[in-house]
Amino acid sequence: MKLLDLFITFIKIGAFSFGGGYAMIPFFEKEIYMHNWSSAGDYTKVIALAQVLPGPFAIDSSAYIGYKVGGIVGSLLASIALSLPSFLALIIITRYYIQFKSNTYLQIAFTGVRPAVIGMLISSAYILGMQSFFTSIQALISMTALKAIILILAGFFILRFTKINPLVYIAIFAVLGIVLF
Amino acid sequence: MKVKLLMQLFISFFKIGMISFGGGYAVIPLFQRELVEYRKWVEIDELTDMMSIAQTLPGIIFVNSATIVGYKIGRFWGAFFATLASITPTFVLILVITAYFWKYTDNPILVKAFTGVLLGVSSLVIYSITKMWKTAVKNYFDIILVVLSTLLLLIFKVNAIIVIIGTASIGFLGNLLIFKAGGMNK
Repeated sequence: MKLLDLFITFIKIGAFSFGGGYAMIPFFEKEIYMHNWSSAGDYTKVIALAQVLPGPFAIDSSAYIGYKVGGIVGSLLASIALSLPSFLALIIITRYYIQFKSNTYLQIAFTGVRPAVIGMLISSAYILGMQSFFTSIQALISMTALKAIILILAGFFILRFTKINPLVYIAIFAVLGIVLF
Repeated sequence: MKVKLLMQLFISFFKIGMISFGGGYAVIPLFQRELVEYRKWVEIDELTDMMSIAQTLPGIIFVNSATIVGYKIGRFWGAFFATLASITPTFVLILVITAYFWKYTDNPILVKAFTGVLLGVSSLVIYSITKMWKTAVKNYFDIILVVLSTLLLLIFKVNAIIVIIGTASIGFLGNLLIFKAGGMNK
């Protein structure tokens, strides 16, 4: 029953999460919390670990959550379920992709999704960077919160104005984390 | 012959899955090198088209593009093996860490490093928002949708699936009206 629930949940996420891996964070977060699958703190560790592991971040999440729920079988089920909806959709679409590209109504449908994807990404940025400081007034006006804001801004400007290698970028932030917190 | 092709597909996407860091968009240069220049399976223009479909559909961008390229080269089984190969390295690595090395993640130094990394990822996400903004937000109506979906997610804690379906439907109707109105003006 738990495995079926896991499978259906990841099918749903796979079918409705537009905008790629980082836009999936609000989905995973909500489902983990609702089903009590893992602690929020443990899941953020997975997000951090995923940065130094190769490959798609969403699979780190599905494999981890699946493992927590049902061991290796759970982990397989969750990862397959996450990839299944778009796999099936793409097999159909790739065949007709010229028609797909030029269909105005489909284009309009996907245009409607894009602002929602921005909303998803804003929530992801909040969950990753600021959520832990909105627990109390003390946490919000603490020195730690200030350091966090400065780091987020610094990161943004590094990405905006340099062509830094992603691994180097993550390594810098790991070191900054050790030094500053 | 077919088996050899499927094996090559598997190896290629396994390889890309092993060396791709930094999210969906960072795989594009790796795809170019492996699929266009080395294997000569697709042309660069084709790859660009495929990537735009991979990004439009739900799901993981890297895995979606593996499915599309795999299908183009080897039909159903091509798509199957390319997709499987694209998720295998990550899957195995995180599973090994979760099963055998999870206790080390409580190490205080590592916890601090994680804190730093998460803030770095937060900037990464903010940066990708600024890059997407121009194509995603074209008028005031879109801005309302961005604000609406953000509020629903963050303040009202509404399920992300409901937010996507809701805002996408409103967005579809709104953009349809704008499209029809624009059509009449012409």
